[in-house]
Amino acid sequence: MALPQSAYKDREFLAVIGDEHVTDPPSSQKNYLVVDAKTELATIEGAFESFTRGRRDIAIVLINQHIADKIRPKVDGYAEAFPAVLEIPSKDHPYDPERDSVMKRVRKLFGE
Amino acid sequence: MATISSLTPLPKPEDAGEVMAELTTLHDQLDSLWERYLAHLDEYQEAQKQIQKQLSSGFFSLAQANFKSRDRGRYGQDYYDGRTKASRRCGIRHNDDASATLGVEIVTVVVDEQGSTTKGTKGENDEKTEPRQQPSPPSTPAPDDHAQRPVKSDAPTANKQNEPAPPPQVSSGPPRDPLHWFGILVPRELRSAQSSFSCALAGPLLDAVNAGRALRGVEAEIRRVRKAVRRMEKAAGS
Repeated sequence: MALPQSAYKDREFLAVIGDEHVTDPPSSQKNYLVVDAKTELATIEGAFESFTRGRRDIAIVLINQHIADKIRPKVDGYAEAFPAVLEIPSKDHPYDPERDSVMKRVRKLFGE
Repeated sequence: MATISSLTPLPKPEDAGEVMAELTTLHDQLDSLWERYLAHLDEYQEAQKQIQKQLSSGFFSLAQANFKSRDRGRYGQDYYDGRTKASRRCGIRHNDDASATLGVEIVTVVVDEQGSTTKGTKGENDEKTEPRQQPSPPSTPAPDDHAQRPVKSDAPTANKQNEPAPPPQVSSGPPRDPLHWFGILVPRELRSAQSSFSCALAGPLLDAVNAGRALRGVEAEIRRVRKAVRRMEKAAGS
């Protein structure tokens, strides 16, 4: 399905939701969220909503997989074309294809 | 009471033939869609493997850098400079088949003849050169290698060939390297970590993002064709 150029012409930044080792350099309007043990679920959800639906300048959202697990329903339910959401491993949590939302969709398609 | 003549007539032989031909075409379409889907799946899985490899290498180098500089403190968010601006931007290219591919470009800071600073990336439209963020006040001079490094894109952008020739401008290189947050002389391991993370961003991360998007697109087509096949099979069966 062809998207109009207006849907993505302003999207040029990466956003990151991750632990301390993953976050990108900050910008004037923060495009990252550092998550630690004290970060509340609502904060993570709010950041995800902001990066995916609130802002028009984000093209890619990178999120550590173990943090995506905390907001799994939101990540799995995300179906927009832009920004693209990608689950990445972190220092202490390697990538697990069983939990990746992309691979879940693949298994669902094969399973039908 | 319904009579045989009032019931829906059975499909004539030529209609049944058309239905079968249609079904065969749909099955062929489905097969080629599955082929594409599996190719994109393979790309995605391969990209995720490379991401794991690159990021692991980066984390390991970071751990080594932290180990070597125990007196100084950890290389972490405590040293982040809040004024830093993006040194990489995403470019979205519109393909011939109406899909979009994401790429990442290195940002340059361009000083025009009036001395005002604007940011741009190679190959973008003029309207995109308006500053979206205030430039960082220069605190240390940019290293010479940054000024002399040629501006290059990791992926081509849309409308590159349709751009008018830009006015003469002086390029002062990309934004300040985040490594300088930690001082001028940083350990080799920290540079290596930055290199690993940058390579991951420019390569496998983008490949994974594009493959994931392609998977979604092909998945939608597969569902559509499957639905058509079921409808056709139902019509042929009745």
